[in-house]
Amino acid sequence: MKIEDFKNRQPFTVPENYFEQFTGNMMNMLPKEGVKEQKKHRTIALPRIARYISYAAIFIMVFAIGHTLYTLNEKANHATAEEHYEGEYIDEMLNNYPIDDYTFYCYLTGNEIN
Amino acid sequence: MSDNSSINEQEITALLADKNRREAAFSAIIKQYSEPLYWHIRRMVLSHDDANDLLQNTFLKAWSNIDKFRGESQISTWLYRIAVNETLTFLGKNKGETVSIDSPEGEIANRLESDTYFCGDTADALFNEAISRLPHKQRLVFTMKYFQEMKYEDMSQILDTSVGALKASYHLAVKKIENFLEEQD
Repeated sequence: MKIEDFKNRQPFTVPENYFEQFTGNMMNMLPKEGVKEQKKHRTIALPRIARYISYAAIFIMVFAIGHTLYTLNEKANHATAEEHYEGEYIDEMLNNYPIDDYTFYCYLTGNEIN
Repeated sequence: MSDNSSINEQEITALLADKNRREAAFSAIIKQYSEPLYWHIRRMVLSHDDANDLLQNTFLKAWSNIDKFRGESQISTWLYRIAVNETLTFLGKNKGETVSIDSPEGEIANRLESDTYFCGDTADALFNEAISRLPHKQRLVFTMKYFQEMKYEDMSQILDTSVGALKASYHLAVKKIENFLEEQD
């Protein structure tokens, strides 16, 4: 088999009257001008603005949620700390661990208690 | 390509710009170019159904972008460019489903021989298998040059590739096809 042998051979066929009917069928498939322009107007102008607005809205929402969560968390931490160290617990500590001023001074300065 | 055209490019371009006569002008374009474009696509994808879908998509795309056509390039160049893009996209998407260079030897030929719209013999089927096994762009170049006898300059405009690169691609394609056919003898 040589490559030149195939030059003028046509092994492919098409359905009957395919090319005769193609132009008519194709013309029926084309969208009408008016419809195309309406679509164009809708697809070009609105989505771009809507996209930018949605990006801004998402950014604001994420920021607001993050800020709220952070504030709530901070408040909760303060409340827990206060609850934990205030009142009875501190009184109990002071009552049960008799520390005089000298011992406290040694503790703060790192000197040994004589 | 202008040598083969029987429609007057300037006249048609002017009619396309006139919204009232645009449809008639486009109808003339379809009538003129549907057959050569079909055969170009069919040689690439082999199946009639795929070629028909791609040809329809080509004209639909051309119609939806008709406002952008200013007559700076020839109508045929513009249409071929769209057809080439559609075909390459199709081949890229259907790598695993249709014919591929990874298919076992003879598989494409067997599939062709059982196709309703194929009337060639085994040699024709093997020849088309050899073409199908080429990389997509090389297959395009080979099809345009070998079957459509397109000038390298025209191909260069359609494929946006230098004439030198196209010549090299064509000769490489011929060598690969010859080697494949020799192996089958």
